[in-house]
Order: sequence, then C-alpha cells, then structure tokens
Amino acid sequence: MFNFFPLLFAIVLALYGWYSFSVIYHLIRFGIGKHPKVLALVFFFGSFLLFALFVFSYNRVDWQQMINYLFHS
Amino acid sequence: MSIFAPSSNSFRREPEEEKTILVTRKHQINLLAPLYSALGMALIPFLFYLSVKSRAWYPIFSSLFWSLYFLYLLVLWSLVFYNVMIYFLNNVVVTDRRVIENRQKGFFNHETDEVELKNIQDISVKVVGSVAHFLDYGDIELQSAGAARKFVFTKLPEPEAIKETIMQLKMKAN
Repeated sequence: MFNFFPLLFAIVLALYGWYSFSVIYHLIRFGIGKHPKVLALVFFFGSFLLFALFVFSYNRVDWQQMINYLFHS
Repeated sequence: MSIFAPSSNSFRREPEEEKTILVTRKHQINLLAPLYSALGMALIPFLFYLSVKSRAWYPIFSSLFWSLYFLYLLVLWSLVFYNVMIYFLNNVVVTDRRVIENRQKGFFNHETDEVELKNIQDISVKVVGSVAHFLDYGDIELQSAGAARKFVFTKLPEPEAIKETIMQLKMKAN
C-alpha cells in the first residue's frame, strides 16, 4: 500500500521552504538599513531551531504505547 | 542576482548620486499588536500543559504533545515574521531629491509612490488622539504640485521632525 504521509510531509516542507525563503529574501533584498538583515538571520535560526525541536520530539513519540493505551486499557 | 543592497541605507533603483537622508516607517506600536497576540497564542498550549501534566496518561502522550507544540510555535514564528517583514518594507524614504513611499502588500507584491522635493507645495501634520499624542506619532500629508495629488503617510513617529527635515531639504532643492 502506498504510504501517503512522506509525500504529504515533503509537499508541506517544500511549501514552508518557499515561504521561509520569501521572507528572508524580501528582508535582505528590499529591507533598508541593517535591522531587516539581522531579523532575516533571527528568523532563519529560529525556524531551524523550532523545526529541529519538532523533528526530535516527533521521533520520540511512541505510537504503539499510545495505541495500546487508547484501545486496550 | 544580487540580493544585498550596495550600502546599509540604499534602496532599490537608487541612483548613485542620490543621498538617503531619512528612512522611517510606522510607529513601533503597530508591530506590537501582532507580536503580543502571537505571544499570547504561544502560551495557550503551555497553560494546557500545566493543567494536564499531573494526569496519569500524560507521560504516554507527552512526546506527541511537545512535537505538536513545537510545530505550532513554528507556524506562529513564521506568521510573526511575515508581519515583521510587511512592517519593515512599508516605509518612507526621504532623499536629497525626493520622498518615496514603499508599500509592500505581500510576497512579490510591491508599490512605490514618489514625489520630487521641488514639487511639494504643502506639508501638514495630523496628530489625532491621546495615544498618538503621548507616543508622538501622526500622519504627514504632502501636497504635490505636479501630479496635483496628496500623499498621506500614516502613523509615522516624530512627524514634526520629519516635516522639518523635508522642509529644509525642499529649501535646499529649490
């Protein structure tokens, strides 16, 4: 059976990548002064950190334990 | 494709001989509303965590809870910076030749209006309300001779100082 979720994850990740690129591009290319450039850097590192935290915590999810608790307790 | 501007205060399509005197944008209070809204929304799941952390079932679902929370924070973070981007790219640039208004309406959606200093006929400042008075922000209206239209820049900080700067530059330009 075709697993739909990796494809969905890839599509969402690509859309988010485009969104992040657009924010950073606009701030660096069209921002006047140094503040927009610094904010682009803050956005990049913040996004990277939150995404890493999401992936790390998602990998720790024990689906089997949750299923057992929900359906067999 | 160069993505960096030539100097810290330069802007798109700026001629080399033109000098940027002032760059201003709406008062910071306009940015605080979305920032505080996002902060409040970020705290809501945390309050939920405080209410359920002592439940017997919480350790089983904690990893899922935190992964969804970080995903939620990532979405909020992105929305906040979209607002920050719009805030910073909507600005008014005063050079030694003209006044330029940049309006960023979204991604790759941009409008620019400009008026030559020598074509400015009248400048007026409007400060309406107690909040605007105490935080020192207001609207600046430029009446242009050439296009016979009015330029209105809203909620700019220190409007009187900006008006004074434009007046001095206009006198030099004439």
